[in-house]
Amino acid sequence: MSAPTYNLSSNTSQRRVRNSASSGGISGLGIDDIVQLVDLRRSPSLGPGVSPQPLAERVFKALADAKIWTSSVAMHMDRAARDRYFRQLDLLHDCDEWFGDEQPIVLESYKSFVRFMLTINGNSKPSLALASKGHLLAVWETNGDRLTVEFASDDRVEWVVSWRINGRTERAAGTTSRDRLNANLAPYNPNGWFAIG
Amino acid sequence: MRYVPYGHQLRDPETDEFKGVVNTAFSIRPSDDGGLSLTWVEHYGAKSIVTYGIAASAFRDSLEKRKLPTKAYFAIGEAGRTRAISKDHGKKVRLVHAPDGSNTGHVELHRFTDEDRRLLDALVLEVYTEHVAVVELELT
Repeated sequence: MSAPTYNLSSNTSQRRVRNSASSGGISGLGIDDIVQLVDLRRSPSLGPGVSPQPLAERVFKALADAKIWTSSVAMHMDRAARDRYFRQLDLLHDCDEWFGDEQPIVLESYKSFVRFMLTINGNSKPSLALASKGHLLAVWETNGDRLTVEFASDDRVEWVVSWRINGRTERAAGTTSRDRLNANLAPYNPNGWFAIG
Repeated sequence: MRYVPYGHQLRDPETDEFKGVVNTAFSIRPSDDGGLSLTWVEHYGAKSIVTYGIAASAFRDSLEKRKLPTKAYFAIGEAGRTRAISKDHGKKVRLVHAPDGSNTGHVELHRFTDEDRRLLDALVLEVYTEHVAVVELELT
């Protein structure tokens, strides 16, 4: 079956949004496109003669949901950060790279991550990864130290720090709520990880 | 060596450059039936980039798709260090030779569970620290 292709046009440019189990999710989806994408998603089928495979459909929906939700908080976000998150999400959802155990991102997990980033209001640029359950992982790494945070769908976060001090590596981990993460990380200089201040 | 798909890799947020492996690479996957799935490199010969290619090919051929994605990596570590680090975190793991179809060097890490994030971090940061990209390997 050939990969379905959707053309979403904006006022300024013609953009292609691909939905395929074999070629990489939604690429280049901008705010300008989202209104049209909402209409597309509301229709019972995605287009004439189009019947995406279940994985492609799930990936498409997950990415669309994440990007549409982002549009609702876009006024609080730096455009560069938003574009970077979109690009990272697109890369994580390239099904050509999937092993077979992966799940598309869970919207509530993504929301939790973005809310956290908005709350701390720092300048850090975390790497993103995807846990098997579709939870988003954000990773901060500085001079060999590493902070990994998994954002679950209920505002719970699981964090682990590997922190080198006096020639040894100290490790700590915990589970807490998103709003308590900074307090949990207090011994490990959260302002440094998150580039605050 | 442990297969690490893109989603479990640490990538530069702006350039997408590979920077390492995220600790979830050592989470138990649904496909880890009998225990954490690994491939025993030395089963295929002395440790070298050529042997990595042979082992990766055997791993690939054991997959239903028989294909490895272009951005995938393998993380390589030593069995003894795996046991030692696991023991430090309270787990007496066993590496069990469990041939999987064409991957006759397949091993399973038994008595391993993935709830201790500190252990997973230690595995990726202290044991499985050699990384080789699929595209760097000569697959047979």
